[in-house]
This record gives sequence, structure tokens and C-alpha cells, in this order.
Amino acid sequence: MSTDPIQKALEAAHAYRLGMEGQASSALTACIDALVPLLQSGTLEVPQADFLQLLEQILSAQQRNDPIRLADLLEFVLVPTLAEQTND
Amino acid sequence: MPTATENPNVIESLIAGRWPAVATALQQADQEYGIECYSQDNFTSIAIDDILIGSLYDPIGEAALQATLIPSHSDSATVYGIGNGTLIRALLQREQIKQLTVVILNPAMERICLQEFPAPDWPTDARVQLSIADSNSTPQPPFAALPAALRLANDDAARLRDQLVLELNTPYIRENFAQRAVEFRAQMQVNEERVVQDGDVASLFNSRPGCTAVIAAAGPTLAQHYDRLKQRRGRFLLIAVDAALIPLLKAGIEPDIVVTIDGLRAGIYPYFDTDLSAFKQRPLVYFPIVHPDVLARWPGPRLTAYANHTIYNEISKRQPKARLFASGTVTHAATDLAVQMGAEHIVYAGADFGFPNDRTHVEGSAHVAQAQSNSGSAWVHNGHGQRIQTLPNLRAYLRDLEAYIARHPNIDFYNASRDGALIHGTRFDLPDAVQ
Repeated sequence: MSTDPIQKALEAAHAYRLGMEGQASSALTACIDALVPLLQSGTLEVPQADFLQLLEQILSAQQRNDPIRLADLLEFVLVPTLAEQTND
Repeated sequence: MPTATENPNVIESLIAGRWPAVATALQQADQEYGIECYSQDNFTSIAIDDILIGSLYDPIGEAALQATLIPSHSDSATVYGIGNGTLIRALLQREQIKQLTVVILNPAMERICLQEFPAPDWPTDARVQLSIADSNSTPQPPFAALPAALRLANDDAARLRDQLVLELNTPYIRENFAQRAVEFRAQMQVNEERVVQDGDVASLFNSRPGCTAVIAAAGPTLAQHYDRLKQRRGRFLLIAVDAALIPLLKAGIEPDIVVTIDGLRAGIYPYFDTDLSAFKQRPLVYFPIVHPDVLARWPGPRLTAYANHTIYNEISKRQPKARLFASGTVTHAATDLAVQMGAEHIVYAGADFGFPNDRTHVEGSAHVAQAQSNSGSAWVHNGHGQRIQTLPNLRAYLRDLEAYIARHPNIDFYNASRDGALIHGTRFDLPDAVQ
């Protein structure tokens, strides 16, 4: 069964807002892992450069341990972007 | 509602009246931070040193989520951090709440928040108590903690921060262990034949009353003590965790007892992949989830122990053996073994719970590496009062060890090095046996 990156992004966002770092980090990893095939297959309709920039922001926020910004990027930028792909 | 910058006396007028000491601490907090202000639709937020304080998109929803950490029937709660004040307001809307304790983890950060976010009304609520964390503070459940406050906790609040993070992550830790339980149960089943034949760790209990025990862990500072351990060998009981075994042997030091508790073969087997002929008469103390291949390596007597965990409930009914304290690390089990054996002095050598000099383990250990650091890395104080990088799990093990030490006030605990993590409850002046 393939991982739903939207579900994992929301799980990670909520866990980051609650201070549950372990669960958040695990869900974020699963989300990123689920996105890689989508990027490689070219099925995402958003410009790849824009999407990669978003991923860079997410990873940068993770590296400096900026949990609320990370949660906002996941919940209010990444999820709507991915949801648009599904609705198209 | 006017912002505090439009009403600069918010701290003085709203807080000083009820909590003058807190107001003084807020006003005198001198940490300098970079501040960035953001706005999105109808909401504003700030970042302090590039750490966003509250959600820019949905601070109300965020506070509602965080408030779920407080059971709906609770009449009291604790909030760690002020931030944008939204969580505090959300909880005060509950009529059931009769007391809300707000604890500041970083006065300088919260002074900025009080100045930059809309002027707070909660300080006038009679149910609120406001205080500042210190090095003796402990988590007060039920609680919720602002992630940004945890992230920016100052030195005084560091231990409390670590304990809060441990509490918040305990469900995940347990779930993680439960996912591995299937594999561990299978290993335990294979090992049960050995457990039947092997001895009980209880046979060691009270066998060395009044002794000095050295717990050799595998942190980088273990190497600082090789000469001392060799020169004074015979004057103390030497208990080595599995990861310290090969480094000790390479240094010409043979421990009296080795302890291993982890069920992951890939991580543990390399610790025993060496000539162990010196141990034909010396015991290995183990938990039966340890991989069978690891146990097969040991040439000497093996003594079974169980942790106080439900995974051992069934086997302990069939094969009763004594329990050892262990909350994630073999250093805990080695410590409890020393205590149960009767040690009056316990010295930690290499129990670094962090990365002094950016190294992960003592040289010669199977998994030694250069620590990867970034601005968001977890940290702990070392014995010099400096911050050293660590991992969240090491920090959790450290705080659990400190709680264990606090429960044993009749035993003297020592840390042989200041370069690793400061272990609250330990001393640096070493006992005679290892002087």
C-alpha cells in the first residue's frame, strides 16, 4: 500500500504543533519518501523548480528545528499544492 | 486591540502588579535576538532568531489543537511558554479550568512576545499564575508546551525542557518499541532455551556490598580514563556496557561484567565481534530480547535479567528472573546492576549522553563517527557549563538517569569527565578507589 503524502504531511504538521518531535519527524520522512516518486515520474503539474524550492524550505525549517514554520509549510502550502494535483 | 508596542507598559501594568519578580526578570532579560514580523490574511506572527513563534495561517486552530493535550475535565493545567497568548486564552475559555499556571522558559523571548503580539488580557484573569522556570523545575501535568518555547528555552530551563520533550514523545517511543516487539518476541522465543539454562542476575545482587563500581559507557570521554582504570584495576568493580567492550579490550582493560539489552542485531553484534576468550569466567548480563547470535558469542556464564516492561511478562512467569531498571539505554541497566550489587560509589566513565568534540563514540567503538551538527541540533550542558550537541534520545536517557539517581540518595554518583553531558546528581571529585 503506497503512503499518502497528504496524510503524512498533516500528521507531521499536527505533531510539530504539539511538540511531538519523534512522531513528527517520522511522518515527515514518510511524506518526503512518498513525494520522491511523484517528482521523478513528472506527474506533478506544479513547476518542478517551484516544488523543489518548497521542499528546500521544508528541509531548511527541519534542519534549524523551526517546528511551527515547518508545520505551516506542510499544512498550508504543501498540502494544498498536492491536493490541487489530485483534483485536476 | 492595541499592541503592546502601542501600550509599552503592558508588562509593568498587567504583570508587575501581580508578579513583580517575574516582571523584573522580563525587564532585565538581556539576551539579544533577531526579530522578524510576518502577516498573512488577518493574522500576524513573529520569528525570534528565525524560529516562528505561532502559526501564521491559523493560530486559533493551532491553539485548539494544543489545548487537546489538556483533558477536557481538568480543573488545572500548565502551559509552558506564552508566545502569541492564543493557547492561554483558549484554555481560559474553559469554565472547568480553575487554575492555569503559565511557565516561562525564556524571559527574553517572552518579553519580545509580550511586546510584539496584541496586548494580553490573560494576566488579569485570577485563575492564572505566572512563573519562570529554573534548574529545579519539573513538568507539572497536565500540560501543553509551545514548540517555539521549547526550542528557545534558555540554559536555566534546559533540564525542564528536556523532561517536557521526553513526556511529549513518550507515546511515540512506546509505539516505536511496540512495532519492534514482534521481532523481539521472536528472538526471545529462540532464546528461551538459553534463559532456562542461564543464571539469574539476582545471583549478583548484594555480592559486592560497599564497593566502588565504575560504569564504562562508550562515549568519547571513556578514553580519558584508560590509564586511571588500568593503574587502579582491582580496586573497583568494572561494569561495561556492550559498546564499551572492544575499546576497553584494545586499551588492555578487561571488565568484570558486561551488560547488553538491545534487540537489534545489526547494532549490537559488532560490539562482540572480537576475541572474548578472557571472559570464560566472567558474566554477561542480558535481556532475552538480545539477538541469539550475540548471546552465542559469549564464552562465559550468562545471567538473564528483565526490564520492567510488559514484553517480559509472559517469559518472566515461566522463567522468573530479577528485573533491572532500563529506560532505553544499557547504561541504566548497568547502573541498576551496580546498585543491586551493593555499590556505595558509582563512577560514570564515558557516559557522555552527547558529542563532546563532535565525536559520537569513543575511538575503537564499532559505531564511532563525526557528529553532524546544524543550528537546530539538540544540546545539553557539559560539566563546563557549555552546550554540546546531542540527540533527543540521548537527552531523554540522561534525564531518566538523573531521575534514577535522585531516587537513590544513599549512593554517591560521580562523573569522571566534565567534557560529556552534566549528569545532575553526580560529583566530579572521584572516590578513593579511582583517584
